[in-house]
Formats: sequence, structure tokens, C-alpha cells
Amino acid sequence: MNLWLIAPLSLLLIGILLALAAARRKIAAVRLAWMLAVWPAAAFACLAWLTAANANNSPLTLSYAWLPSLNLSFSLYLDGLSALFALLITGIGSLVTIYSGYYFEKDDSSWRFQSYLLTFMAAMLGLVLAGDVITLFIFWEGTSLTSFLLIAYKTSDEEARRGAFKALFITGGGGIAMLAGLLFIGITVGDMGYASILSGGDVLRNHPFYPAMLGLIAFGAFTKSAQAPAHIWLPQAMTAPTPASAFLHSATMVKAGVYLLARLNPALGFTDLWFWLLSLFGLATMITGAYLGFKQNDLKALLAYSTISQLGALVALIGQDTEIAFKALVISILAHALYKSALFLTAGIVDHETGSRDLRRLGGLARAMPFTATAATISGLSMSGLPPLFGFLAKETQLATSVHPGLPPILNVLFPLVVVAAGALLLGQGGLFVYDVFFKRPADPKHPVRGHEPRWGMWLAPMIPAIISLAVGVLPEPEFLASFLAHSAAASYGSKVKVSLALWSGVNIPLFLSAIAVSTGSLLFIQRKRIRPVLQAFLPQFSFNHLYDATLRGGDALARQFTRLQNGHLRFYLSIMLVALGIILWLFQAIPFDFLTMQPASSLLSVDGLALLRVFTLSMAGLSAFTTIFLRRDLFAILALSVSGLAVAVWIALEPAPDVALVQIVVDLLATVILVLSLTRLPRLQREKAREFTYRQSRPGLLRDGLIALGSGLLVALLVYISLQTRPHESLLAPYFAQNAKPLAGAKDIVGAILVDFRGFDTFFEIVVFASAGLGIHMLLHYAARKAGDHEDPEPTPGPLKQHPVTGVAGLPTSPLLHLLAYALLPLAFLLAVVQLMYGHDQPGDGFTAGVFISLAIGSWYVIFGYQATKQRLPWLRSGYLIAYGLLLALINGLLGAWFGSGFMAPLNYGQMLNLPLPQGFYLSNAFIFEVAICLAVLGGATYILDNLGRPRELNLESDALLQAIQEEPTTQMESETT
Amino acid sequence: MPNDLWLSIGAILPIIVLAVWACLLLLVDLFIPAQRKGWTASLAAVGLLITLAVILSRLGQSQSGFGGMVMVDNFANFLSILLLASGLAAIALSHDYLQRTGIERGEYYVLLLFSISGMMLMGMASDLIMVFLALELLSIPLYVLAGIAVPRLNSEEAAIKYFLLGAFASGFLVYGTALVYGASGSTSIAKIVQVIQAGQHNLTLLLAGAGLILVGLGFKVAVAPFHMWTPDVYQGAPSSVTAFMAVGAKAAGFAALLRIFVLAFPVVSLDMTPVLWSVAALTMILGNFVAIAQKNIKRLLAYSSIAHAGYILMALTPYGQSNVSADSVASALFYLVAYALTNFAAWAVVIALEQADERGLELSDYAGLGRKQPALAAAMTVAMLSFTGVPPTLGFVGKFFLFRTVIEGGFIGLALIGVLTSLVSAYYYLRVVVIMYMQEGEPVVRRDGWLYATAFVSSIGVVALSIFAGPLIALASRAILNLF
Repeated sequence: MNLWLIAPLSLLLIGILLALAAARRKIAAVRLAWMLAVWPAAAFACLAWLTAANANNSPLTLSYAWLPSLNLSFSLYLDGLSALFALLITGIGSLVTIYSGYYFEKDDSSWRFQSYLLTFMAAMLGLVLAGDVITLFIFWEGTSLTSFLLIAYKTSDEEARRGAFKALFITGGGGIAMLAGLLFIGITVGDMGYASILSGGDVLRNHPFYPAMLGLIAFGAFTKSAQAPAHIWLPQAMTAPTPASAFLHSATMVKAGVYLLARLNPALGFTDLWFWLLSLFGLATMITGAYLGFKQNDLKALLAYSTISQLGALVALIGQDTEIAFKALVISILAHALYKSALFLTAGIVDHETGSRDLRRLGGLARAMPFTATAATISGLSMSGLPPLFGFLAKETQLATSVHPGLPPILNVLFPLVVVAAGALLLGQGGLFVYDVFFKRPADPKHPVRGHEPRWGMWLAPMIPAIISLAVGVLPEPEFLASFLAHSAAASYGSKVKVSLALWSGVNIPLFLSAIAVSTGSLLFIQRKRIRPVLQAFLPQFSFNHLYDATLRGGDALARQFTRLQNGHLRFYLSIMLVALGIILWLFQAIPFDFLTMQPASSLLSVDGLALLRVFTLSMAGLSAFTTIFLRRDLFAILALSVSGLAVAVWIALEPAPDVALVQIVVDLLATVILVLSLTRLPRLQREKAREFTYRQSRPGLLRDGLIALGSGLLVALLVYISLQTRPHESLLAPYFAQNAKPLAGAKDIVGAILVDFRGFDTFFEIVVFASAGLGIHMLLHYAARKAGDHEDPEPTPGPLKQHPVTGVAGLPTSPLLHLLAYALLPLAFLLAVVQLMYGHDQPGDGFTAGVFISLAIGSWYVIFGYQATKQRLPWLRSGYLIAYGLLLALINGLLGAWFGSGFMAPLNYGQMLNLPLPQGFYLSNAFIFEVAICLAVLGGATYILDNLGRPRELNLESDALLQAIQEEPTTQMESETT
Repeated sequence: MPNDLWLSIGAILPIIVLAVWACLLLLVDLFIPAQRKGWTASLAAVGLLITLAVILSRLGQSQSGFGGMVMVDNFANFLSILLLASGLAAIALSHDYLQRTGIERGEYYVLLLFSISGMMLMGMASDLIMVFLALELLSIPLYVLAGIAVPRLNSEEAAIKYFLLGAFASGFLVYGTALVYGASGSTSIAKIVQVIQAGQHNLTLLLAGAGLILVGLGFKVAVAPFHMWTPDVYQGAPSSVTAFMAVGAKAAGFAALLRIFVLAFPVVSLDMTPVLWSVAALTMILGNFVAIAQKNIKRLLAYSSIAHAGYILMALTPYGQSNVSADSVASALFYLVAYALTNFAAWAVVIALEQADERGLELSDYAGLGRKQPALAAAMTVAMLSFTGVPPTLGFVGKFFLFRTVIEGGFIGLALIGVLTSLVSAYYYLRVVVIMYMQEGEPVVRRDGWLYATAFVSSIGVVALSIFAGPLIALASRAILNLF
């Protein structure tokens, strides 16, 4: 039998598919409606059978493991409570489906509405049949989405779209909050299924996060069930077609929240927090809805507010957690669903037939539409809580709960007061609906609103629930209904509940209260012409629309504010990153604020002869870096920067680490030369523009940037400081190399040994990288220039020296003394390089420095003689070949090591092997050959760079024009887009 | 050559295959005429498929190589497959788009392959040096790809911004690596773990190093406040590049974050957790709120990608709790898949609507799509719902998994922020849906088979995989990080 649980949903699915299939065929709306109504009706029958056949009333369950590892499953669950809701949904759903057919009789695309409606119905049915909280949530959001489609059915109507969005925003949002609560519950209990959750009440109630769970669940339920102040979406959702309103906003969707609370009551209820939360919100909603409803002129709005009022009552009842409250709950749910759907449907008929829903215009329709009037009268009186109708019973039991002795004293006064007041107001509304529409003389007798009875199927839909409302009251107490309701209440209450449906329960306090309510209500109704205008004129609407709008506007404003952060400025992005980093490190307390008090290592304080030099170099480094910032001529700034590098080199030399110092010096010099040369390639205008942009900053901007720079610098300095404080004083690697350099690599110079022997393979790759950099720069500049159509000077051909005027860098004249120096420098550099190559294995210096030395000398030629003259004077300089020979030599050298020795690049001493007479201290080893190869490759790479950067460039008109444009329009595209 | 070198090479064989294929493709492309670059695209796709086949043939093994520099385990394989699939999707999105915007060049596909090989390496890297190398290998091609629409100024600006800030982020990563090295004496994750277990590490340095690494990788995955480049770059870069970047760079960045943090840094989790917590919260809040104000779909998706990075980072927050960390990894991986599929579905539609000169990218250009192109609109709707996390989409399952992990880790507040920002996100995602279906308009749509295929396959996958997500979750859960 459990397997049959899937049947109701499947039946609805068939209905949906049929509705979609009808899209392509011309089927008359009424016929389609009857065809479709079969399916929810069948589902109703199926559910009724399941409930009736389930003799022992234990819940039916069906579960399909969806994602077992996540504890997710798709499961269904049918007990008294879900049966009550499910029967209401399918029963009223069938009626509404038929009704819609007539309502959309002239609409060709009624299939669209019907498919939405059936989808919604399926989602709603799934919601109440869900067997675990995740399935519940999925269907919950399903109802939010499908109700969005229904409310916004008239897509061309702006108001409908707004109302639909509002409903979706509030209920969908509540649903997501609810998901957090449900997840929370599920994880606490260890299972998502109801069986575990409902029996895990004690664990949940004693959990420290119980208030959070409850709050989240209540938030979801309250938004869905339109509890004040989240009730604001419901009146606006009345833009939906009336059949949808009748279904969604009376019988089903708005009750989903009530269902959720009733369902979870055994798990979460029976606490003070539960009681107060539900009671207060419920009562507030009850009175707000009743009061607002009395003011309305629009029939649907009137019904919407009275619905809100009843929802409040239901929520308050659940909060009380007494047996009688749950009896009242189930009776009220049923009674309300019956009369409210009938009322909505009759309101729809009136609107459909007369074209108006305005109380001020309608009147006297009873004669024209007798059946509709009958249904409306019965239901209206039921809403008013008058005997002998079902609504009377509902109100009586509600009032009975209020005098239950188990309640705290304040509620003993408050609850009856609210119920009586709301009852009176509802009676007034019932009177308005019934009398003013159907019986009163029209407001404008000369032009009465005309209408006539619709086709029978249309008035049948409200008639059926109306008759049931009457039958329950008039006929002898239906035993099966009472026991069914008792089971429903028990499922929600957690223990047995006695339900009797007898109207007359003797003269008691509830009856007395009821009498007060009826008499007050009658008074309100009689005096409605005086009271309602006053209410409409003076008392607030409580629509909270400004609050809702303000929330959305606030969100928008916040978003725009955040967007303003996105201003397109790189330096701003970067400073945010830096500040964030600072905060993170501060959070870690990784910044040692105690460094001020820390005792510096004693070696730092000892003053020896070198200390003065150290202080000097440090201050030189700092000073030159500082100067770099303030020098506005780029050339000077580069020179100042190079001073900083040199100062560092001196510091390294003092360590003493001559090898490293040497490399630092030559690289610093080479970098300076390259920078200076590359400056000449930039168009003059571009350089000026760059300078202008750099220094255009406002004073506060400069200050801010300065602070950020200073902060970042300090941060790095501190990090270095702590790493120095904490690192081992003795390097772990140094002793190994010190011991093994000579025996294994035959070198006294450890650095040299590491470079060409121990890490020879790395060095090999490094020269490849260096050479590639040279090649890359060549390709980039060469081809970029060619593509841009620059007028490159033709390759200078070697020829008579005087052919080109000798001018230095940037076409400036240079002095003969400098020429002399340059002539002397090149051979000297070669000499130095050879010495370094030969003795580098034992002394500071190596192939790299040798290569850079020569490159430096050549670089000075470029600076002094200019590009053309240099090219003519050094015709042997072919960078590409140098690179190729260097790399090839290194490769062959390494392979020879594999051939003769123990492996690739294994140390070999050819001088020894061949017994060559070599000068002392010079070994013709493959280390030497490797150094030569390095020297060649480095020379090739470096001169490639020099050659390309040293090549003068003609005026580039295009880029100048571009700069001009940038100058005129200082903001970039993106900046303007973000604002 | 020594045996273990062969083993090591065997371990990274997929990357070698891909990189060699890319190099060859670079040569082959020279002989393919400019009008026939479709061949290059197809060959690139073939390369990805071959690589995929190599990986699939070796699933389930885990081996380390190069002295522990790389670790090819289920985790790495999972990511590699995800990345290769993303690469295929990116190629499918690219060809027609590049052609009609006039920026099709053979290098495009080669760069894509190189970038993917870097991302795959990132998933395998179990040494901080390797992480850095992989990061550069994946980033540099991306920088170029972002600027490949040169001389369009937006594209150039995107490339230069991405490059400069990316270089800074790399700097942070290297500095962090250096500090970690200073703290533990090694860059190998395995050795770092040993040193930490032996208690020989320097905690302050380790913390500072971990913080810097977080910044460096946080930049790549675009979490706030290191996300500032994202909208500008996503908008400026060609859409097909953005679609790929949004998935690939994020997946790779999170791979490294997961491996480094879960394996090496549990010891600093006490200090790390508040930072991760606040970064994740900030990212979710900022990403989602700012997305509301966007009118350009590319920017909207950019902020949405930021927000999703926040969700994934949220799963990382309880990484230090040994009973949750497995779920952290699994849920993050799973969410990456969900995000990738959803992302490609959305971008396929975006690219289909994009016109020359960056027209067709405003939200208002989507009006009427529901009537004119119901199929595309449906794909977009599925994507938007999945981004929001509405069932039955993969986004829902993914978010569910994430939230569950976070709640298991005891971070209720963070989970709440996640849930509430999801609600905020519904506001702008659903707005796209509303515009498509409920506003009248005449959208101009490019018809291209590959685009449509990507959109439909992705969106159907988003729905179908959510219903039959079991195997995927099992895969993600099995992708536990191996140490040795």
C-alpha cells in the first residue's frame, strides 16, 4: 500500500502533460478543463482511499534514496495531517480546474493557465506529502516559483509582475531561510526524515541553537503564511486571475506555513519560545487582517485580508499546544478552506459576469444570479461564524481554546479579546460580501451593474464547498469526518485529540463570547456606512510597502555604493589588496609588535671598522630609493635607482660574498644601461604624458599612496626581521659545499662550483631562459615595429666609418674623450672576461659575469657612439649566432661528460687527461668549457637586448595621436561604465 | 635514466601529452590558412580528448613523482577531468565567436591548451614551488588570452590589469612560500607536514606564510577583497575567454588552496579559520550585493563568480577539523563541477546573444528571448536557477553539500550568511529570467551549432546530474587528498 503513495503525484503529472499537449490542438477551454479535472479528482479519490484503507492510522511512507551519502532522499509520508491538506488541495483543485475552464472560456491559451495551475497543485501536493525536510523544501520552492507564474499570468500587466515578484521575493526568501533551519534540524537529529525528526524533539529543544532553528523555520512559515508584517505580499498577489487566487490564497499555498508549523510541532513545540513566538505573531496578524479587510472596497482584497486574519488565528492556535487548540486547528483549517474558496470563486463569477469587483458599484445581483448568490450567502455566513454553518463551529472551538485553564493569564485576556474583535470584524466583512453585492440596491440605480448567471459548471464549483459547509452543520454529526479530523489533530499535537462536530455544546463561556462577537459584528455591519469611511480615511493601511520598497532600494543603493569601489584604478585595487593583507597578518598576530622592545642580536650592536661602512651603504641604498621617487626626469630616476643597487652590492661584498656582489654589480649596471637605452625607444610625448599622469595626484592621494607604500614596506621589513630572528644561524647547506667543492668539483670557489657543477643542470636551463629572453625581446620589438608599420632604419651596412655621424644615445653629441674611453673599455672587458673564465673556478667571477662584462662594454658603445656607428664598428657581433654557439657548446660539453665520465655534465679535467702544459691554476676542465658556453649565451642574449633597445625609433604619429586622445578624455572606458 | 624518473614522467604523462600536443599544434597552425582555423580548434579538442583518454586509462592509481613534487591522486585526476571538459566546452564556445568578432588566431587554442596544462599541474602540485610554477604556467597564457581581442581597448585594459595585479599576487605567493620555507625548512608539503608533526616549525612564520599564500591564491580564485580585478577583466576579455577563465582559474586556485591548507596547514587552523570565515563572508556579501546593480550581463556574471568563490571558500573554513576536512574537499570539488556546468550553460547563451562591438550584452537585450528562442531561454533559466541554488539543479545539490559541510563544522553564522546571500542572489538571477520571459523585445541571436550544443548539454547536465548526482558525489568524496 505504501507504494500507492506515488499515485496522486503521478496522476497530477499526467494532467500537466495533457495540459501541455493541448497547446498544439484547438480544444475548447471548457472541454479541456473537464478533461484535466479528472486527474486531481482521481488523486483525491486515491488519497481518500489510502486514508480510509489505512486502518491502524500509522503513517504511510515511501522513500527513494536520492543521494545517500548526503543523507538526501526523496520520500513521501501520509498521515492524518498530510491527508487533511492533501485532500483539500486535490478536492478544491479539481473544482478550480473546472471553474478555470469557464473563466478562460474565450481564451485560446487556457492550457497555459491550466498547466501552471496543475504544476502548482503538484508542487503543493508534494509539499504536504513530503516525507523528509529536503523533499519538503524542494516542493516548497516549487510552489513559490509556480505561484510566481500564476500571479504574473497577465505578463503584460506591470502591476501583476510587481506583485508576483514581491510574492516570490518574500516567500522564496523565507523558504531559503527555512532551508537553513531544516538543514540545521536534520543535521542535529542525524536524519532528514520526519520519523527521526518528530521523535527527536527532546534533542532539538535542548540544543543550544534551538532558538536559531526555531527562528529560521518560523521565518519561512510566517512569510509563506502571510503573517504580519510579512503579509504584505498577499493583497498584491490578488493581481492573479481569480481561480488562482481562490486556490493559492485560500485553500493551499498560504496554508503551507501553517502546515509546516503543525508538522514540526511535536519536534519544536511545547516550549515557551514557541508559544510566545507563534501566539504573538498569530494574534497580531489576526487582528491586523480583520481590521484591514473591513476597509476594503475591492472584493478580492477584502477576502485576502480576511484570509490573513484566519491564518493568524491558525498560527496562534498551533502556538498554544493544547489538545483543544489542535481540535480547533483542524476544524478551522477545513472550515476556512471550504468557505474561503467558495467566496473567492463567487467573487470571480461576479467579476467575470459584471466586470467589476468594487463594493461601491455592485448590488442587487441576487435576482440575476441566484445560484451564485446562494453559494456566496452560505459561505459568507460561514465566514461570519453564524450557526448553523461550519464556520460557527470553527469560531466556537477557537473561542473555547481561549478559556482553557492551562494558559498564562495574559493570554486568557488577550486571546479572547482578539478572537472576539476579529470575529466581529469578519462578520462585518461577511455581511459586506453577501448583502452589499447580492441584496442591497445598487449604488447607482440608473446604471446598475448588470450580470447574469454563468454556465452551470462555473457556479457549481463554489456551490459544492458551500453545501458541505452547510451540511456539516445541519446534518447529524458525520462520524467519519470527526474521526478523520481527530487523527489529523493527533498527528500534529503528538498525542490523541478528541474531536466532535456537534454544533451545540451547551451554554458556556465560548457561547457567551460568541454572542458578543455576533452582536458587535452586526452593529459594525449596520453602521458600516459611517465606520468604513472613517477607517479608510484615518487609520493606517499597514501595507508596509514603503518598508519593502526601502529594502529593495537599500539593496540597490548598497550595491551601487559597492560598485563605486570598482573604479577601474589599478592602484586602488592594489592598495585594497595590500591593506587586506595587512589586516590578515594583523589578525594572525604575525606582526611582531614586540620588536621595539626586543633585544637586538649583539652582533648588530658591536661597532667594528666595517660597521661604519655598512651604515653608509645602507643609507645610500635608502636615500637613492627615496630620491628615485622625487626625481621627475625618468633618466635621473633610473640613475638614482642604480645607485641603490650598487649600495646593496657593497653591502653584500662586506658580508663577505664577493661572488654575489660581483654579479649584483654587473647586473645592476647592465640593467641601468638597458633602461636608459629603452627610454630612447619611447616617444618623447609618451614619456612626458607618463610623468604627468604620475605626478597629477592630489595631495591627499599622494599622502594615502605614501602611507600604503610605507606600510607595505614596513610589513615586509618586519617579516624579514622575524625570519632573520628565527632562522638557524648556520646554514644547513654551507658545510656540505665547503667540504665537497674541492674533492667533487675541483673548485675552490664554492659559488662557482655550485653553479657549474652541483647545480649545473639548473644553470644550463637558466642560460636557456636568458637567451630566450633576449630572443623574445628581439621578436617582440622587431615584429611589433614591423607590424605597426614603423619606419625602421635600414640595417646599417659595414662601410666607411664616416658615413654616419657619431652621435650618442638619443642623438646627443658625445666628447672625443668618451670615445677614447670606450675604445679602451672593450679590450679591457675582454681581458677581464678571459681571466674570469680561466680562473673563475677558484676565484670570484664566472662565465655569467664574464659575459655581462663584455655586454656592458658594448652597451657603453651604444650609449657613446649611437646605434648606427656601433653596428658598423662591431660587425662581428651576431647575437643569434652567439646564443646558438653557447647553447650548443654547453650541450655538447654536458654530453661529453656522459660519454667520458659518469653522467651528463659529470666533472672532467681534459687538461689532466691529455697532459697539457697549462698555466698554474688553470684547468682545462669541462667546467671551464661550460663557463665559456655560459659566457657566449649571456653575451648573445644581452647584446640582443641592447641591440633592439638601442635602435632609435622614429616619431610614431599614431601613438602620439592616441596619447592626445587620452589626454583629452582622462577617464578610461571602464571607469565611465561603472559610474 | 633512473627508474624513478621514468615513473615520474609516467605520473605527469597527461600534462606532457597536452603540452607536447600544444607545441606541435603551434607548428601545425602555421600551415593552416587563416580562414580555416576551425582545423586548429578541432585539433586542440582532439588533444584534450587524447589527454582525457590518457587520464581515464589510469584512473584510480595514485603515484607521486619527482621526489614528491607532484602527486597524481584521485583529487588531481578529478580536477584534470573537470579542466579538460571545461577546455572542450571553451573551444566549442570559441570558434564561431572568435570568427565573427574577427579575433580568431591559431595561438588562441594553443594558449588555451598551455593554460589547461598549467591548471592540471596545479591540481597535482604537492610542493609549493610546483604550485608557483603551475600558477605561472596557467596565468601567463590567460593574460595573453584576455588581451587577444587587441586592438579593442577594453580587452587590452583587461589584459594589462590582470597581468599587473596577477604579478603582484604571484609575488605574494612566492613570498609566502619563502616564509613557509623559513618556518619549516622545506617547500614540499609532505616534508612540511613532517616538520610540523615533529613540532620543529616556527609558528609565526608559518602563519605569515599561510596568510600570504592565501592572498596569492585568493587572487586567482577571486575572493574579496582580492577580487577587484575580476569585473574589469571579465568584461574586457573576449566572452569565450571569460567563460573558461571563470571555471579554470577558479578550479585550479581552489585545488592548490585545498591541497596546501588541508594537508599542510591544519596546525594553523585556529588562526586561519577566522580569516577564512571573514573572507568567505565578505566575498559572498560583496559579490551578491554588487551583482544587483549590474546592467551588463558579463559584469553580472563576474560578480556572481566572485560570490560563488565565496561559497566554495566557505566549505574550506572548517578544513582544520579532521572529521570535516574530507567533506570540505569533496563539497568544494562537487561545487566546482556544478559551477562549471552552470557557468558554461550561461556563457553559451551570453555568447549567442553577443554582437560585434560588445553590443547585446545588456540585460535589456535579453527581453523577449523566451518567446523568440524558447530553447536558449530555457537553458539560461536553468543556469540562473542553478546559480541561485533552486532544486532540481546541480547548484542546489552543490550548495546543499557546502552548507552541510559548514554546519557540520559548526559555523552556523557563516552558513546563515551563505543562505541569506543566496536569497539576495535570487534577486538578480531571477531578474534575468523575468526579463527573458516577461518583457517584450526582439533579441538578436547568433545561430551556431556548437554554441547551442554547449548550452543544451550543460543545462541538461545541470538538471540530470542533480537527480542522479550519486556517482558524482561518490567521485568527489573519493578524491581525497593523498600525502605520499
